[in-house]
Amino acid sequence: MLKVKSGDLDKLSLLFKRYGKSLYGFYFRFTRNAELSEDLVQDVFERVLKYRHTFRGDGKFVTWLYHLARNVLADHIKKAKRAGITTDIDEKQEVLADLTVPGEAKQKEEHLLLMEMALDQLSHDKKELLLMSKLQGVKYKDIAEMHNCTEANVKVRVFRAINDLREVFLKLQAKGINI
Amino acid sequence: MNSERYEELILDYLTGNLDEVQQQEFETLVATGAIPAAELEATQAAYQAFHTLPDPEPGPGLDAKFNQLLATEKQKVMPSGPAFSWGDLWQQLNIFLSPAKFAYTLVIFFTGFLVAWLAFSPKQRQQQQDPDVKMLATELSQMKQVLFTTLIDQPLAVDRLQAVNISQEMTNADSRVIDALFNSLNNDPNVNVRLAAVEALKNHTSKPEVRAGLILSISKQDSPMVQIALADLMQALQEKEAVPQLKQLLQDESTNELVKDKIKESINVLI
Repeated sequence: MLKVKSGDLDKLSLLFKRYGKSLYGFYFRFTRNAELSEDLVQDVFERVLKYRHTFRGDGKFVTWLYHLARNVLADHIKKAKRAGITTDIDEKQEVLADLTVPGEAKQKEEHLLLMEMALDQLSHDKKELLLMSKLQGVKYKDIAEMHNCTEANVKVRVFRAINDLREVFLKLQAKGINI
Repeated sequence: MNSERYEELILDYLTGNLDEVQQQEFETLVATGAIPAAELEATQAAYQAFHTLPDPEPGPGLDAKFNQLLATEKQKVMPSGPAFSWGDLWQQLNIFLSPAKFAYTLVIFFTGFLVAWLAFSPKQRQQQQDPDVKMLATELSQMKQVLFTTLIDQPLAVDRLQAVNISQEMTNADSRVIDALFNSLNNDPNVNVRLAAVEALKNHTSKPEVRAGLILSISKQDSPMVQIALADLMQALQEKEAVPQLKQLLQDESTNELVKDKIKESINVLI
């Protein structure tokens, strides 16, 4: 990243290759919209370029990147709220059914879809936290830095989020949701 | 507080981050039932399920949008012409204040003079005009030469860049100009000037000494963009003599990965 800062813009491609897909997945799980997710990823890298002069190089690039990513997400949500766009769960469930999942046993497929649905039902903060922890190259220490809390705190929150996820999953399973 | 401590431990266990001491502590807690095994299993299952969720696959749009973004940004920073886009106004100001402006103005004046002469010259045009035009054209060319030599030594990169660009307009490839271009290529502190020098020297590659000079320049460059530009040029010229120098650059550890890829490509084309 320091090379990008000093003008070697092509280096950014390497960073994009490394983190782009992961970021896309992150946004997709919030928006369930491929095009929008692509745009959001582009926004992030736009900001990386725009603010490259502010990258001090004393911290990890990944932390800085995901910090920007969180801001992009937050800004998008604010905009969506203002525009009155619904974040209706039912709508999202429809989209979910179209998700292409690596074709294996139907049961496993259902399992995965239920998991995704459960994820969608979590609160924004819990969902964000879990998805952040899933992102490539992110450690709990990094998340702690981003949230301005202790690493221990992050771990506890992740633990609780995982359990919440499990509970929702079981509820959905019990309801016998038809995919 | 206790439960939080357990939760932390469990998560560390799940992520495989327990050190020996913690591992012991953890095993004891599970054995004694302080951490119920059933709950642990359930959390573990959920954790693993979550972390093995396949990542959504992006379409081609993702890469395409990024490449577009990068290309736009590069254009802003590294324009093909002598003007820098965000610094357009700034550069205009520079030219205005530049000491070489006067020389440049003379060139414009002379061109205007030439046009006026052609427009308002006396009746015996056919016979008198040709030698006069030739004379003026020569003078114009000489002025460009003067301008080049003046600008090439200026402290502002913008002026040096203009000098290099002017050299491309010169019809006669003066050896002094070529020497000056090589000097810029190998020694100018500004990467844009060096890149422009590569461009300018392209016009003279029919001369063997120019090609030799370009080959020698390869190992002198440490800017990736210039390295790539030179590799590209060698490839286009089918200049096999460049291969040893290119190989040397390839072996150099400090060479940028993208440059190495480009060099490999060029070498493959040349061999």
